[in-house]
Amino acid sequence: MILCDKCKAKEAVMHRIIITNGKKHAQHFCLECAAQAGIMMFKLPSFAELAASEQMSDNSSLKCVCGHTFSDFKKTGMLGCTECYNTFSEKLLPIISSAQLGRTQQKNRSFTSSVPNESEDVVSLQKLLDEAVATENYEEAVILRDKIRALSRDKQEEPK
Amino acid sequence: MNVSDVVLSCRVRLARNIDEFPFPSKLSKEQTCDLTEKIVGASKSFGEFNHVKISDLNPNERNRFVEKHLVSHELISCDNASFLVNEQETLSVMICEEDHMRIQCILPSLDLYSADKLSFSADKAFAEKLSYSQSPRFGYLTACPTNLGTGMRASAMIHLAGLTMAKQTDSLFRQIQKLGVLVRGFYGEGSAALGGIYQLSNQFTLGVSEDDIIETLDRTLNRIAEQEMNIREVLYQKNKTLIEDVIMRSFGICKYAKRLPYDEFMSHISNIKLGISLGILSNIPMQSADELLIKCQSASLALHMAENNIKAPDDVARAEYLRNNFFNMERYI
Ligand SMILES: [Zn+2]
Ligand SMILES: [Zn+2]
Repeated sequence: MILCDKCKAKEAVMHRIIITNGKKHAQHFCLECAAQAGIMMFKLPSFAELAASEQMSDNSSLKCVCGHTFSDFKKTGMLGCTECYNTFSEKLLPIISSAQLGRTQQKNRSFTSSVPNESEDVVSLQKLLDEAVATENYEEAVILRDKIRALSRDKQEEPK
Repeated sequence: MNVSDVVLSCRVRLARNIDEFPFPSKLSKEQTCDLTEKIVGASKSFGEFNHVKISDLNPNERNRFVEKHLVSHELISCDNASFLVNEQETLSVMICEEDHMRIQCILPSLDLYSADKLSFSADKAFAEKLSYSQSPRFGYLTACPTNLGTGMRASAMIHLAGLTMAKQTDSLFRQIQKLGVLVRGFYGEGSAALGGIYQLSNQFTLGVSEDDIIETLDRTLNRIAEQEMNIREVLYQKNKTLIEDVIMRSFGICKYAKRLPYDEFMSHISNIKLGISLGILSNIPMQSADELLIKCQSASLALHMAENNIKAPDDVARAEYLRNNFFNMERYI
């Protein structure tokens, strides 16, 4: 358990990274102290937390060309450079996946070439979607809805 | 009553990094200068921007930009950072915050589609001059993997006075979180949103398209705004005297108080906004109330005091500002 930096008594639930002179410092506060200080925080699933919760037996000496190590990432939730994504890909992927609702393939509008890979058809997906909605499994429903959309969009773009 | 009575502003923010440079935390001072120059240079092809360096601003000036939601709280604590902002203050680019660039467009009321358009036209212009870091799998590469993919964070400030009064916000937020929409306080604090003002934004950035993000958030906001407007009417019809009393008391306090702490001000301005939307304070333009909301935040207030040589505690200055600049106009009632 990380204790609050201010009262040093309660559990810190709010975390932020401060950069001064290029150096990063992590700050941790409990809800009360953060609110009192009017500190602007995000309460996203912190990557440092997610990474720390992963059981990583080998605190490996893997180091990126930029000098970043995986434990640096665990401390700050930040990567050092774009190459870090390759260097630590194996460890990053499950973390990315759990924070992005299981999705690890971009669907940006600027990348029109991204193809839905599976041979899923809209009808069976729609069935799954109905099921998911009926059981109030909204996370699943969102994924399915997006898949259906992507598929039907590609279909429309196909010349007849 | 319409959506602009409920939604204060909306914003689209895009995280971008430039090839050949490490993320900001690993940049040397020289690299930061070099990169900043490149970004500022690239902006010239798109439009006129003011380039503001954080190190040139005093703490109050820094915080005022945060209070206007033009830059983040994180940016103003980076001494090497800077930002670009256009004259209308609708478009800004944070340079060397968590990522090299954070292009953001902020517009009044609910107009996410325009904010999307504007931020993307800026993005396109920059992309012609700069080479963004991208990968076929993860899309735009960002310093923190929470922004991977689109790099897009779309958000809006919504005033839920009615739903807060009716104690319906908890169940509502539980519902919308299932749709991948995050809820935070006015300035992103984790604590209770002061004055019933909340920030809603997309939680996921990867594996969704920008259009889906905008569409989902816009639909969610419209639905909530409608619920909020309905409940305001219902509450008012059922408890006419009570609601009028609450609103007129807040009006009276803002008009006559000699000191007004921040929290208290936030709840009164919330009631006043509610009163405007219900036609109880029909002569006050909603825009004036929204402006007041920003002007009475601590740093903006401190700057106003410094400019006018007023020396008084924060809460006294706030009350005085209200008396002198807004509520002295009798014609409002
Ligand atoms: Zn504490
Ligand atoms: Zn690296």
